[in-house]
Amino acid sequence: MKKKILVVDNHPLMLTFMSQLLEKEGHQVLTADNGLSALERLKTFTPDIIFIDLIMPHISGEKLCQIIRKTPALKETYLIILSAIAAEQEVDYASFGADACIAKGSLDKMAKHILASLALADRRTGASSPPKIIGIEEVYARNITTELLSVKKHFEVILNSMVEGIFEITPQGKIVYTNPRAMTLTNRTEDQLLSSDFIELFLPSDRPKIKEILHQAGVPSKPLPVHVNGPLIVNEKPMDLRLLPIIEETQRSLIVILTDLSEQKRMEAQLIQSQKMEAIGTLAGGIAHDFNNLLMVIQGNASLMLLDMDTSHPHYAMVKMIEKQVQSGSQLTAQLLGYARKGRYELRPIDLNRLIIDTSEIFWRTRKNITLHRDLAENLLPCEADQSQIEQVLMNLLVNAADAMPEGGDLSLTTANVKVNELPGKGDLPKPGDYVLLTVSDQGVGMDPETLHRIFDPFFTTKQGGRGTGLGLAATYGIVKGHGGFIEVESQKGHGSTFKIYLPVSTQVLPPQKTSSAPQLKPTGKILLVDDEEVILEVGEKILKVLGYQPLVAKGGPKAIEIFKEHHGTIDLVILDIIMPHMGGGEVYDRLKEISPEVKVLLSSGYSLDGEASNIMAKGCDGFIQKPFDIDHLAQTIKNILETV
Amino acid sequence: MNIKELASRLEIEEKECREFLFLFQKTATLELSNLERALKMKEVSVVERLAHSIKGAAGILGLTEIQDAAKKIERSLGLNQLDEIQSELLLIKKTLEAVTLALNKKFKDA
Repeated sequence: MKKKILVVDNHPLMLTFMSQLLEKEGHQVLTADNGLSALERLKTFTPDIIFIDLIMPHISGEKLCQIIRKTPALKETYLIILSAIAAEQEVDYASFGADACIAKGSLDKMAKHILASLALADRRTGASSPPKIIGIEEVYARNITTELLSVKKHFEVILNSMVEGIFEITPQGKIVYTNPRAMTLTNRTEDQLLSSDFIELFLPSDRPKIKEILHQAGVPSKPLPVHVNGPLIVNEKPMDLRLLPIIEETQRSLIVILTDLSEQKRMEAQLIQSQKMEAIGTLAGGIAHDFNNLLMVIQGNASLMLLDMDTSHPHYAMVKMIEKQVQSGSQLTAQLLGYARKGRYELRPIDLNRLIIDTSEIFWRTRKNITLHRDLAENLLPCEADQSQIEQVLMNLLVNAADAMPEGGDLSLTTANVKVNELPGKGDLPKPGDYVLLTVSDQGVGMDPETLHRIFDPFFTTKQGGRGTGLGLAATYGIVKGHGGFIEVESQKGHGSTFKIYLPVSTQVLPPQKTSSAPQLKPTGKILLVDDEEVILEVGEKILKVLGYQPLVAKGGPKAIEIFKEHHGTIDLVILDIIMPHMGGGEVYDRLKEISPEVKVLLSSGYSLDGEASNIMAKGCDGFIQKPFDIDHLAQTIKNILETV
Repeated sequence: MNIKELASRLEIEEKECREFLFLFQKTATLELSNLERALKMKEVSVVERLAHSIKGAAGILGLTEIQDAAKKIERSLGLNQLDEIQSELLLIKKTLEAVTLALNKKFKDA
């Protein structure tokens, strides 16, 4: 019976031989000299039998069989492998869908095998006979090319495990090879990709550009590697594209390397964001410092004025108002300092549960429509932190949670000891180790992803009517980062928000709580106040005098040393500014300690330069007071230090 | 080389045999010169593919001298002994010349 036959082989001799042999038998024969042109032929020709060589340019015989087997119209087509390879190594032709395999040999033998295989195709009943390679008995010894084959296997392993997508395309832009990664990146299967147009992987708007690039890379006179830097969108992801022309004796093709840029773009955005935050932080910290000094002078003078008036004084209410506004201003600068990570003065082991109970009690008194639920871990480990800053963090979160529930609702606070091993996919990777976890959850309005993305940006606020400064969460973020911790946020529009604050566990034990206050003593003693600003010295001197102390003032470090030497042994306390020109607080502290190791020193500052205050505290300094301070706070702090033996 | 004998061994007509030999000679000559160029450039995979192709076609026509020489080239590539390829190339060239000669001779005779 006359059959329709396609012969696919890259050798003209084989094509001629096969055509003549089969046409003599009365069959209709078409030929193709590579896999790609075979696929073109198959678009309009449905053969009963296809003879396929294994090693061919542009889609191998094996790939071609696989594609044919997945094409519904060719399901019944009988596939015969005709290859010299079959004579040298095992070919598991059934695994890629072929029905028979003939090893190439001399024409006389091969002709018989080919004609016999046609009869085999006729007798096919569906019951598959065991795979058998026809014609191997008289051909060459096997294993000749084993070494070469193992090299090929190595390349295959490398290509299969690459993170880049690799294609090979013809100069006409048809895909003839794809590695597994290329399939993942384009979200297409090998069958879909092979013999398809490379250009169709791209958005229509990018196609003219790709066409131009393919042309550039493949111009016969000057084939050049081309690198497309601007991201191209493939499968909705930004990709980088490189094209390497391959020119061999008869074959030209292009190797295309596709790299997913999603991760790189994400990292870049994160870097820009953190640089931006850093710059704003530096600016914010500087402003806060100068502002605190101004507030200090206003506060000091207001305190002094109040000492001279009783509540009936006509100006009493106004001065009180000044004091109150100074407090608000000071809270604002505390947020700025928190954001700038410049306020960690007193690191000591703290009991987070205690802090949560105290702070949330105070908070609840102002927002009684909120129901507080506390679930605090019994054996919570201490964390090393600046108590006032962590209070600030908690207060910011509580205020936000309450603001998200204007009609009231449930707000839950939980604590737990957690071990952080490794957190995949986090940009700023926290150090693995033991952490204390504070979770603040509300049932409020929640946030959409866009808002969630920006909540830690300074000056970003969703609060209406000037109620938000946009500093609360920025400060929270800065403080937590400054403590070596990290924050996780989960939120959905309409479904509340959850903030998780992780703080590193302290290796130190909690100090015993103060049980009773010391007996009241009338303040006495000589105090040296050191600052570089005249106005601060002026108001400070007056306040100390009012408190009952004998004040000495020194403008700047050298003057302080001079006065301290003059009054050697009689000065009970030095109140020392940190940031001063010529000689900073740290150096003054060291010199004073050299002169008199027992001297007591109270640090005072608008902020510290990257832990300058912490460094001095670590050397054993007696205390720290944050500007601006009021008269009572100063009195209490001095008293505490002087009473400590 | 005797084309008549070859044709009878391959169980084809002499005319057919002549046509196949002509095709082989034309293809193999081109492949051989490409192979030599690739060898200079140390493009091993290209040399391998070309040797494989020459070997296959020679085997089909029962030109065992060329087939064996091409097979040896493949093997030398696998063992990375590129120097030993030259003598095989020479052998292939000589046999190809004999094929050309035989084809021309018959052509002249005819």
